Amino acid sequence: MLDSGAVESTQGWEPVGLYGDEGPQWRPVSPRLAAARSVVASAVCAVALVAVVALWLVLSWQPLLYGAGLVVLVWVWLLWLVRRQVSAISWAEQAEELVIRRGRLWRSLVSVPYGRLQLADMESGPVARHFGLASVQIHTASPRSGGSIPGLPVEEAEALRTRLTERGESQRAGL
Amino acid sequence: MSEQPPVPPSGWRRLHPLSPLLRGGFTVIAVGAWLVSNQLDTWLGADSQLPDGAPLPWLALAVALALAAVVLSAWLSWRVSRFRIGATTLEVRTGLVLRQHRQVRYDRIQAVDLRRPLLARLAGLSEVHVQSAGSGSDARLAYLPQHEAHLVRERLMRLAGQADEQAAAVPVATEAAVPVATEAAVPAEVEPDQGTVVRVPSPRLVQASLFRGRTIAVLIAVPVVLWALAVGRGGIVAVVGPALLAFGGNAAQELVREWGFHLRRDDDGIHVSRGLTELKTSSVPVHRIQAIAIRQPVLWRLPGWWRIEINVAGVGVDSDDGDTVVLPVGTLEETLATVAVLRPHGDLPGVLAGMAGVAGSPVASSAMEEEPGGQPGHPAYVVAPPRAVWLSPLVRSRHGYAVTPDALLVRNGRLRRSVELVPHARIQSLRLRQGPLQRRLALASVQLLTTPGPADPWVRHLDAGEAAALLNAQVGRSSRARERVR
Repeated sequence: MLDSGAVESTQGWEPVGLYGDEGPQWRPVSPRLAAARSVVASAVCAVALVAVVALWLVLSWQPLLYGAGLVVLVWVWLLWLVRRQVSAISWAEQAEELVIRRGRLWRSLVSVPYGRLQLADMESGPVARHFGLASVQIHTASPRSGGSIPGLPVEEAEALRTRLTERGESQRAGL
Repeated sequence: MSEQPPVPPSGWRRLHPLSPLLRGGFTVIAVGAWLVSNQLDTWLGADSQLPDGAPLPWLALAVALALAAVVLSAWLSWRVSRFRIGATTLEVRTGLVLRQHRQVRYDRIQAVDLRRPLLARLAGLSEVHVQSAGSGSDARLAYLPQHEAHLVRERLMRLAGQADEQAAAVPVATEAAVPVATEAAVPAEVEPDQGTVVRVPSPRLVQASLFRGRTIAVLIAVPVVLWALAVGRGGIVAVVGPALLAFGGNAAQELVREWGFHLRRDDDGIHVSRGLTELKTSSVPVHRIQAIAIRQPVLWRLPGWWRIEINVAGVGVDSDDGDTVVLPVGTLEETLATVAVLRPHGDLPGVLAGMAGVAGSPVASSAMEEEPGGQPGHPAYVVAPPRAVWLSPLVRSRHGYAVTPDALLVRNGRLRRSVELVPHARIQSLRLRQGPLQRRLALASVQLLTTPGPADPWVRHLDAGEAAALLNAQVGRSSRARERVR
């Protein structure tokens, strides 16, 4: 209404789509997110593997070995999946909204206007912290709406959250 | 009634002294009834349910003490509960030990309800329930005398509207001073027909309740149960019986809730009154409506009835009290009249087109000519392409959306038709989705996210390019609309 300007005149708006890099400047999340998620997946798989192998040593029941093989397969698949998923996440800041894309098999793109932003959170678990990562969560008046960008370097996440909050203030729209 | 002093602009006021007793009313009555029935049993010489050997005088003393405690605590709770209609907020203080001071900002008020449960009705009292966005942030004034409750409701509704206008206009430092003269206006229920939009005849409510899918289930289930009883197969009854009871209970509950349904409109918003035992009047400022859902259960197509529900932030989320219903069952004319009250006229043709089956039904065109504010030309619904038949064989041509100057319309359903409407300015966020099968067919769905409620518009199986175009165009439309509203 005031200096935020009308949509047409604002630079930095490009049509978005589910695929491709055209349109706005799509930014990937940090590849370290793949590492962090791999660590978590590996920890779970390793525990499962150890348990199955231990059980086989005790019971020496043949099918347990196949089970162990299965765990290894799942492990490998998870490592592959994590990479694919992480590389599918991208986000872009437009003049008036934040756009997040994710997913390969089930693709989704969510577009949240800054004016609808109620709250922007930063979150970082122990593993993510170790890799210097944080996620930014955005909340609107609807709990199902909003979205999150995982795996941003901490400084970048901090900066993004600040930017989002500022824009949310300046473009705030009532319910 | 008109000599009733207007609500003082500020100053703490108390609730009605009977309030605490009424709030705990049912417990008191239940305990009393239990005691009396016990007493009767003893007098009649039957076995007492009381502990053995409790002599009567001690018992009487215990009862007296308990009663005294109830009255005392009620009195204390009344003493410490106060409320004030301040400059920018409604303030409510409650609690003796755990003090609570709740403030609801006028510009956050989403709806104001007037509740009158049976006991309160007998005492001539009402509860004012102020709903604000977000669960757990409501304020309840229980109970106030009828006329006072009306005045408080009207005043809050006006303040809610004003707070918004002030926020929208260039901020002028005007105090939220409500013209006191209008406060003394006659309470709405003295002239019940003022601004009436729809009054639903109760026989139609009953009929509509019978014209539901569950009726068919009941019609099938009842003979089965009877047969099972006759043959002596308890197992079947144990399975079907509870479901039957649940259906019946559900229907009865709905009827009791929607009995005497009456929708009014005035400058402050829409007012829905309903209820058989508990009278309830919900008032919602029109600009607080986030989305509208117009639906038609299969059997209602015979009489041509529709049902309208709305999304209002924070309303009907915690509990399913039917607070979101603005028209439980209405004819085509009533449905359109209701939509016309809720939305600018530009939206009507699109809604009509959506209600009519696949575009170009005679109902739509004839009714549209009668509609004076209607725009010429059929608002075109963009529908799912023919190849979407693989994913949605029956409903394919009904999945679609249309754009009006003020809102986005989404239609769905072939047997159970629905039209959902979201004003451009109210969309919270947009989501584009594509599953693996959709990807193969180059289709995608667009979800329009609003605040939680009965309407959850989702444009399914559009051409992928079309879907992306809708999202991109909608981002701009919503942004412009927000600036107009802001």
